[in-house]
Amino acid sequence: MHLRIFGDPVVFQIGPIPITETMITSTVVSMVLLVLAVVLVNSVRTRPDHWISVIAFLVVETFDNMVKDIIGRRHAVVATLSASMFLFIAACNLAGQLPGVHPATGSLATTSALAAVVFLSVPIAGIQTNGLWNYIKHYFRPNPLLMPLHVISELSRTLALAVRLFGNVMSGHLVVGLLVALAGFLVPTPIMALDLLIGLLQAYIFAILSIVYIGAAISAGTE
Amino acid sequence: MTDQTIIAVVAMAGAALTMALGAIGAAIGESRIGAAAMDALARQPDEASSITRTLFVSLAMVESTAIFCLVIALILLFANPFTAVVGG
Amino acid sequence: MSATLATFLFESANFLVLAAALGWLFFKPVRQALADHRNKFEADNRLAADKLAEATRMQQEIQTTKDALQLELQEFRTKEMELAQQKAQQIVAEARGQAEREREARRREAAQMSDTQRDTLAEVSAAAAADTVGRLLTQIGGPDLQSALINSACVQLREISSGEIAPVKIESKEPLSDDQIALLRSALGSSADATDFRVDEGLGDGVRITTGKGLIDASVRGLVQYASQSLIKEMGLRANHHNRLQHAGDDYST
Repeated sequence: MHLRIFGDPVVFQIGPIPITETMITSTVVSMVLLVLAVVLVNSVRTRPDHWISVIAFLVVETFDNMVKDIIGRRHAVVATLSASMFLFIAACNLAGQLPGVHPATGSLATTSALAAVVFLSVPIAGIQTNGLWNYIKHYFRPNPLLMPLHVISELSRTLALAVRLFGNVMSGHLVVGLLVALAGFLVPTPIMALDLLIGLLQAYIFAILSIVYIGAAISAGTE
Repeated sequence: MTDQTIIAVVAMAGAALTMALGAIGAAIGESRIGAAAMDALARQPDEASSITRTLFVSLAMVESTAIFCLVIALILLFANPFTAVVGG
Repeated sequence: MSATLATFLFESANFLVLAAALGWLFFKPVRQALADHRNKFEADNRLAADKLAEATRMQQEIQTTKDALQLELQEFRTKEMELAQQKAQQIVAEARGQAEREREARRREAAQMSDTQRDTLAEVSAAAAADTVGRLLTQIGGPDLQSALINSACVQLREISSGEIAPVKIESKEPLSDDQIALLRSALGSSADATDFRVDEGLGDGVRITTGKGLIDASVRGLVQYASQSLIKEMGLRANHHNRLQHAGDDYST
């Protein structure tokens, strides 16, 4: 058997750009999500009392309330970003349970990309809310000597975000793969169930942490 | 005993040690977080949602150290830059 | 271009596109629908609150009206009660006044009746007394009585005849004897010359002397009259002072 831990196998090349398996998986997941979203919105528009519409309301309202609880006010863009993150990561993790599919979030490149999005969103949100000068000033508080610590903290938490998600998903997938190789039929089922739980939980944590980080930047100037 | 063998043995031992110590630290930290969360929930049942959210975030934070250890161990075992041959 | 870098870039772009598409296709309309729902709910809530407030206000109004009505009723009842009491008092007072008046009238009637009775009684008794006195004097009668009466007249004459008392008129039952005339003349003194002697049959024994200063009646008839008059006077005086008859009337009316 082949254990895939680091690196992405290239399926084919389009010109100079290699197309990896992860790219295909995440694209498919994105398409499924978009189709689901269209179905849900269609249901919301035509049958607002149907249970499918209720699911849509539940998702949106839950994330709006979460953003409101953490930041202190409603923020549609942050809510949209974090909810998209949750939906994408959860969908990828769940897709990893399908036979023969390697989850997109089990690739360090994908999780790094997501963490980089959060990392870039933090200063953008902070500058947009508080202005450039106020946002830069918050790095030098309470003492200018602490500025390197601020920067290191931002970098390390981004790294932690990426590696946490990658480690959880990849290790879960690896354990299931090992058990399938060693014991075979039905034995890895409990571990797969645990994997489902951990996948949803990690998606939730990723979304929450992104809200917390962006919210901290938004409320940085108002301290 | 060639250099490669020594490197492989040391990498395996290091991976085991990393995993063990990292798991111990993460386990102790998570148990304390769980106990504190139970205490807070018993004291303030009204704040259950906020406490639960903070609990999950804290657990993830602490567990991430164990995950780091796991990743390091996996790197040592499967993506060791000092071994010529990648095991598998 | 390495596979990892390509994956990294592709995943970033993929996620951003996905987030934008989800935000545009999914979150925005769902948020809009949620806001619509919330607005509708709030509008319904406000409507319900308004209706509740109106209901409360109406209830309060009803309560106020009820209270006012009760108060009015109470007032009306009190007023009616007072009016009735006043009327009753008036009736009682009227009845009492009427009773008082009736009693007064009856008392007056009784008093009048007793006055009349008393007068009659006095008259009757006076008449009886006069009759008795007259009969007594007539039985005593004779020259002794005549002379006694003339003597008493002379005594009285002497008392008043110090000055001028003419003209003098002396009346008697029958013509006086010379002795008697002399006695009278001496009593009259200086006015004796102008004395006119007359005869009056109804006079009885004795004489009646009319002088310029007054009347000296020493006749039986005069005495009888005097007795009856003084008796009547005495009886009236006594009745007025002691109110015996009036008391009798009160006892009768109550």
